[in-house]
Amino acid sequence: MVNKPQSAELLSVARAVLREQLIGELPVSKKYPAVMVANAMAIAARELEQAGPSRNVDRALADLMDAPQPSDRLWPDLIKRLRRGQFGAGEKPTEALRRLLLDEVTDRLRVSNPKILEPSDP
Amino acid sequence: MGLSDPEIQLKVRSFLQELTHSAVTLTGLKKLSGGAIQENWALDLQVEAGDWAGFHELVLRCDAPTGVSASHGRADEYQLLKIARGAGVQVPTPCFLCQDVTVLGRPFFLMHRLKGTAAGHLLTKQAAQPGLMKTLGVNLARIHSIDPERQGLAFLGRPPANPIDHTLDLYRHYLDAIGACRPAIEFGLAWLQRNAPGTGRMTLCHRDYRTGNLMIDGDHLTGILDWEFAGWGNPMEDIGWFVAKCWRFGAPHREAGGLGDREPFYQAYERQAGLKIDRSEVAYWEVMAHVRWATIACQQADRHFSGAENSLELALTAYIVPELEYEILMMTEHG
Repeated sequence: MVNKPQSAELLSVARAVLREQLIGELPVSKKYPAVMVANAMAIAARELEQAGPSRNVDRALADLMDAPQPSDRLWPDLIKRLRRGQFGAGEKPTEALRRLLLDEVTDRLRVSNPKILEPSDP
Repeated sequence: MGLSDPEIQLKVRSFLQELTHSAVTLTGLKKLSGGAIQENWALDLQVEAGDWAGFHELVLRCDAPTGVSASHGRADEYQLLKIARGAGVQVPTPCFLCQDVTVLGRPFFLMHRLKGTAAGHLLTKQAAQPGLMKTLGVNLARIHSIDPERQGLAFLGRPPANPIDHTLDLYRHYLDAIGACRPAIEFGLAWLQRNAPGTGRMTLCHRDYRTGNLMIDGDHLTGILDWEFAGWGNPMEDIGWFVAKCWRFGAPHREAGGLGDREPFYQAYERQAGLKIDRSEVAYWEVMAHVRWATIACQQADRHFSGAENSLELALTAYIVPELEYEILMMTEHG
């Protein structure tokens, strides 16, 4: 028997009960908090299912920053460089940076609100 | 400690009796939903005699336990409501201000309760109302008719010499203060710095003029709420905030706040203000709107995650940030 992680499935079925059987029975004043609870459960379930942040993003950041290897410290360093006015208009690294930020944000959007990605990421 | 405590209710009643020189009765006390930064309570006030004699449907507004750094105190917001009303802006009539913290524990004011709803997700499902768009354009132009020479707004300070630099530095400071590492927001800030337009006009800006803060009853505006972020700035900032995609509440095709089209809003504003809106510049201010909302959302989320205030609503705000960052990156594709 394989012990599969079941927390995401548990959240998913609990959320379905909340939405399909409970929210409709609640007084109007309690519906909004209940919808927030359902949203929180959906986010948590997607986070559990997510494999984790893309390694490609970390690699691309290291390349962009001329660093020998990926490191969490590169993000604050990148912010310092942006604040110093590096990555100007029309420069090649600026477009590379925009693409890697788009990848990094897309990873998090898959957890927080994947609907945003639907038109361009069917 | 709060208004649900009968002892506090007695103190509020005594305060109102002193102010109205009359016996008063408070009924119908109910906490209203919404308001991440303030608490709002509906209450009905019966005043037996004097200038205020009669029945008044009111809202009591006080600070939430913790707040966002840019927001004004209640006394300032009360004064802003009075000045805006004097300029012909539709706002709830401010009635009483209490700065004595022994009454409620926090300053508060009372204002008339408006009819209608401000709930964005309900309003954007109604049929589009061109008349409403015109009213919203006229009201925003009236807010922008208030300039830094106006008496009574000294608490706003003097306008900054370089408002865009000032604003962008402020947002960086807000992010640093909560230890937020948000490269996509920083990318947006850098883009805003590179593409900044000229200084432009300097007027009072509401700074939260958007669906959700507009009380609407059927097809007409009953009042503009939430003046806590108002300050001196470029009026284009309010226009960009109102039309920005992040404030359309599930109706992205209705580009003016999810309520209607941009043009009736722009044209009514132009007629009232007697000047043209540079359509091409609005796009810049829409990027500014997303960067600003993303920064505020980080601050609100931090109020929960820092342990300052336990709130599911604030915690969920953290999960709005990625979609704002995504829009910032999409909008800054060029330049």
